[in-house]
Amino acid sequence: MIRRLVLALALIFAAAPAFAFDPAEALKDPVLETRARSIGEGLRCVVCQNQSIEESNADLARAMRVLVRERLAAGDSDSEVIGALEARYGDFIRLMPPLKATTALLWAAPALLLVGGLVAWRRAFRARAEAAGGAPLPPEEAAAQPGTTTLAIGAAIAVVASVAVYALLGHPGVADQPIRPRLAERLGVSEAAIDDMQRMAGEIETRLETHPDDARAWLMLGRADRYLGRHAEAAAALRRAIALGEAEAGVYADLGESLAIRDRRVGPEAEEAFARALAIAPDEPRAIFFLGVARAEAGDLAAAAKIWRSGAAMQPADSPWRRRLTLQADRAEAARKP
Amino acid sequence: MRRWKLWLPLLAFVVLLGGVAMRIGKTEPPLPSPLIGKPLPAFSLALLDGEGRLTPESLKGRAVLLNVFGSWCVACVEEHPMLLEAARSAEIVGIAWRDKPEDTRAWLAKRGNPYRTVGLDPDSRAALDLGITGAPETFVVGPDGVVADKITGVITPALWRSRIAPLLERLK
Repeated sequence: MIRRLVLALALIFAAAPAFAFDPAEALKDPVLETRARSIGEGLRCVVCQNQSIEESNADLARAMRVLVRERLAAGDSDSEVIGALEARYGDFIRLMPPLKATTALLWAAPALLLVGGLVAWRRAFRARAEAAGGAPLPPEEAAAQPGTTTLAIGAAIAVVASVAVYALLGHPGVADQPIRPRLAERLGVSEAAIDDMQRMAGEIETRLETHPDDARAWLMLGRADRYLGRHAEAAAALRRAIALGEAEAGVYADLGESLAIRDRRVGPEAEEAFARALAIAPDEPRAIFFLGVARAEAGDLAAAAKIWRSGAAMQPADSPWRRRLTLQADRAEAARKP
Repeated sequence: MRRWKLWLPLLAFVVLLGGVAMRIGKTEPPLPSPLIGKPLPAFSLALLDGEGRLTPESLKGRAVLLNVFGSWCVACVEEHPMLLEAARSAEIVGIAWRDKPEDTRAWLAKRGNPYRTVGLDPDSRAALDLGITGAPETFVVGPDGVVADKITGVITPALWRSRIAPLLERLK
């Protein structure tokens, strides 16, 4: 039990927040750089709002990081740097709101709610005790009820524990990006490459807002989404690309594959996309592969084997697809035999 | 305890849920800029065309709209017809934010130029000083160089009629 708890805590602490920081921005002086980071962690990225500027990839956050470092290098104190940004963006720029007249209610709310809750609880307790006996409880039972002191101590412990846990674990600015490192690992590329691809997808989306009929852009968006593992979005974009004229076998195969991954099975939509791919190019290997899978999923291994076998024959002699399809056909036939 | 009181928590929950449902998907209205009522912070930007610099001093003496835009900005395209319309009665000065001069020039050539002058802010220097969070954002600046209002987001015709045009009239 204890060991598990320790492990859980260790894992929580190991999950360090992702920093968007580019080493080229860092100050040479390690003391100044540490100050810059701690200031940056308390400043809100105004583009993404719940990330600090140290964590955000937004251009504006980058500009703010540079500004913070320039001012520190010029000799400003920490509060001067924060004050300068606060004068321009307001309290909002600080992830931790300052205590002042306009934020007093925000700060007092937890305590007020706690006191209110305790009062309501006490009253409900008394009301129940009176309703039960019609008279105050006999002394030995009354002693068994938690008294005001016990409640107050319990409440105090709860508050202290909450504060302690928050002080240890809490960070209002943390917004981890767990998908990024995982994606990078799966694709075997750097996290920067993922960022590039996401940025590219964003740029294409911006272009599509003004040029919604750009078939090429829809195709690129679909491919970027596929690369990033966003298959539902990819399918939608590829459909648009096809409707606007990019109706090639490979695009249909991409569409079918994304639909199949989205639905976790080769459904009727995916099957139709693959059928269209084959109508254009009868040797399209992914269409052959997935249409065979569709038959196999439906329980018709004979039909699946036939599709894979004839499809394999259409592939060039040295292609990996020929081997893969042949293997599929062999397995399907082996599985058919009792 | 009366029985009906048992329903109070549920009622409170439903009210809370209703409140959340009403707000969901809506963006918070932007907070008022702390610069309102204060002089424009100092900046000095190269001009898109011509000599000289765009500074708060260069704006003094007239009521102006200071509009932050970019050729990359989709909402600016939406705002643009309104600015062209407004330019007939108001003086508009642009800050081309995070943009290449040639892109800004092409964008203005294609869509029309509502700006008397355009300053260039490629590395967000002035944007940070002005407390910009995105484009478009527009400051209404009085002849004394004091910020009278700030509009975060697109200036719609309704906003122009109800808020900006009357304010400019008063500032003149």
